[in-house]
Amino acid sequence: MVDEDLHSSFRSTAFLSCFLVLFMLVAGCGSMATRNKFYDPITAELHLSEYQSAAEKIEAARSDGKYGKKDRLIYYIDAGLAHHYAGNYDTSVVLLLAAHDAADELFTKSISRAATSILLNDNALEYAGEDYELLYLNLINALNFLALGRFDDAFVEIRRANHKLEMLDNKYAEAAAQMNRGSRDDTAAVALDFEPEKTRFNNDAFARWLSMHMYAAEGKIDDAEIDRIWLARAFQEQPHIYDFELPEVKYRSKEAAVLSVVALTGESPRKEALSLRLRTDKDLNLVQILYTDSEGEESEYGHLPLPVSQDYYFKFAMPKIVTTPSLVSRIRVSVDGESIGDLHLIDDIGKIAEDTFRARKSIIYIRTIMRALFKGLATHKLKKKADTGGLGGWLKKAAIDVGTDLTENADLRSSRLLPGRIYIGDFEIEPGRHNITVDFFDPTGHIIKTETLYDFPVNASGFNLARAVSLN
Amino acid sequence: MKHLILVFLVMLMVAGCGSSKKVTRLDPNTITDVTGKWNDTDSRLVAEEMIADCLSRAWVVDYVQANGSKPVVTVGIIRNKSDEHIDTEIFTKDFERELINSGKIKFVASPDQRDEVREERLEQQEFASRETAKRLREETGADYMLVGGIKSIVDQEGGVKVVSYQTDLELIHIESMEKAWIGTKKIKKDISSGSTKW
Repeated sequence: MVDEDLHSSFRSTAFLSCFLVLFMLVAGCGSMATRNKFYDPITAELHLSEYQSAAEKIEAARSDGKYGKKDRLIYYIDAGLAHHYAGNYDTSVVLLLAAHDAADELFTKSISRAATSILLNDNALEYAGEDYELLYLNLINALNFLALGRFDDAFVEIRRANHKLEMLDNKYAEAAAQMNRGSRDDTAAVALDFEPEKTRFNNDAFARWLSMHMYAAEGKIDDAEIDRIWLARAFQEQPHIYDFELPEVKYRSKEAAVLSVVALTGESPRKEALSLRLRTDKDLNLVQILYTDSEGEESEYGHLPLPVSQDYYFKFAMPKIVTTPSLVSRIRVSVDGESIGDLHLIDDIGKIAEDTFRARKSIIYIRTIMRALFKGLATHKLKKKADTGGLGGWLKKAAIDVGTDLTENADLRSSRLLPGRIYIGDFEIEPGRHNITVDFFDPTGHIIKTETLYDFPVNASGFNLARAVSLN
Repeated sequence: MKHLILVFLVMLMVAGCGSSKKVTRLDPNTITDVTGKWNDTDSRLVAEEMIADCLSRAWVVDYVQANGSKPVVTVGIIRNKSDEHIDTEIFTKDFERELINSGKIKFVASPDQRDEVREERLEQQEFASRETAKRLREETGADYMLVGGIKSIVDQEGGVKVVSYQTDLELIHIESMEKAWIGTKKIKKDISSGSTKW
């Protein structure tokens, strides 16, 4: 039984010392809670379309130690995206490539530590990125390479994105298997019968739209057509993600040129803490997870059949994905002062974030419960030991409670610079140099932002891609 | 026990401190695999092996016997179709070097180099002396063009990643479009991720 193991462990002074040292280390590194406050001035700059200033503020935050080594992936993504929005494509490429490499390295590490670091607060661990962040860092980097005229490199990013999507199905299988097996070094010494939830997303419409145009630009019409079909299938086969109309796409024109426009809008999906409570039932050998909604109504969030010999009640928190509605409700494209049509939604990143977070969330859920259970039981034993009576005993017990609460925070780290939505449009226009204007409207019909690309070259063939951004 | 804990804490603190940078010069021919990605060693080894194979085939002898001169070759585009950012210019240079140094063929500038040289020649017609200006329409036309690409297949499960690179080259006769040689070279790498800098 979990608490019997603990009891025997606690008889050993060595264990108690180790626990205290570990506790001190966790408490000492100042990594017990996610620090997101520093994003406020950066987000304000993004809303004002002051992207260069946002990039500078990210650098300042790094200099101030807001991005530690364990958060390096978020820094690379944030800085890479800010420089992309600012049009510093070369710099963005370097940073997003660093993000890709860091994600590769950190994912391998996260697998190997799946079972061995249950005791550590997730905030103290190196952040390996969420799948939606890793997917879009490649797709935004593809936009960078296209802006730089480096087609082969843009294709590399598309292939990387598609590879990640293919991997998603089995990505967390090994981590789950490790947790099931338990481990000799498993800090909680609990073996589970656990299967992670599956993601139901494996085909990204925006990635298909980009590669469709890139193939067409190279004259590979068969390949372009295959991507067009895959784009349609993304909508047909994933209605839980693509619950909006399939946009009309066009990759070639017999009589005119095709102008393709992409617009990045809205705020990035974020993580918020979901507060839960854990109750053990020794008669039923059950660990029950309870949730109280905003109206105070209590319901069961989940349960685990796990042998316990005492009844306990602890609180804990885990991350959940939340999305912020975009202010942008319509995007109009004009060429040389004349409206040629609207852009249409192709990727709702919030929906993709929610779905792809599903598999990892189930692993976080199990890890968090195990940690909460272990720490709750350890706290109970420590408090018993500390109960020496009088004010001294009370203070010791209060310190133990505070320490436990402080080290049990949900890991809310994520990039705050991704867009929330991606819109596209393909328009037939006369080849030549044009002034392309993109207007972003709010739901009341007011223009939030206008972006004009002056003297934009539109060739009879090739991928004529214009990009506009309004992160509102 | 107290001593052990103290030593452990000190070790952790020391491990956190930065170490001084050390630079060691390496022979350019040294085989290095730091990140597991496609690198200069892969490029060089693939070029050496594939060009050796290409030039050992019957088409060279056949051409010399039929024409009484060495075949003229140029290198076209080598496309990167892998999932890594590979500088194909370096790769192309490795092929050019191997071809030229073999002595079995004659080699002309690649298509993207010609424009620059042609521009220089055109300027010479106006600005250089009659004796030194190089003549127009005296370029050596290539008989064959070497084209190809590099692809990769990534097989990954959890922390295990194996990347297979395949380089495909084709030598095409420019006039007849006949393919004189096709070569393939595969490289397989088992990659474990290293630590990124911070």
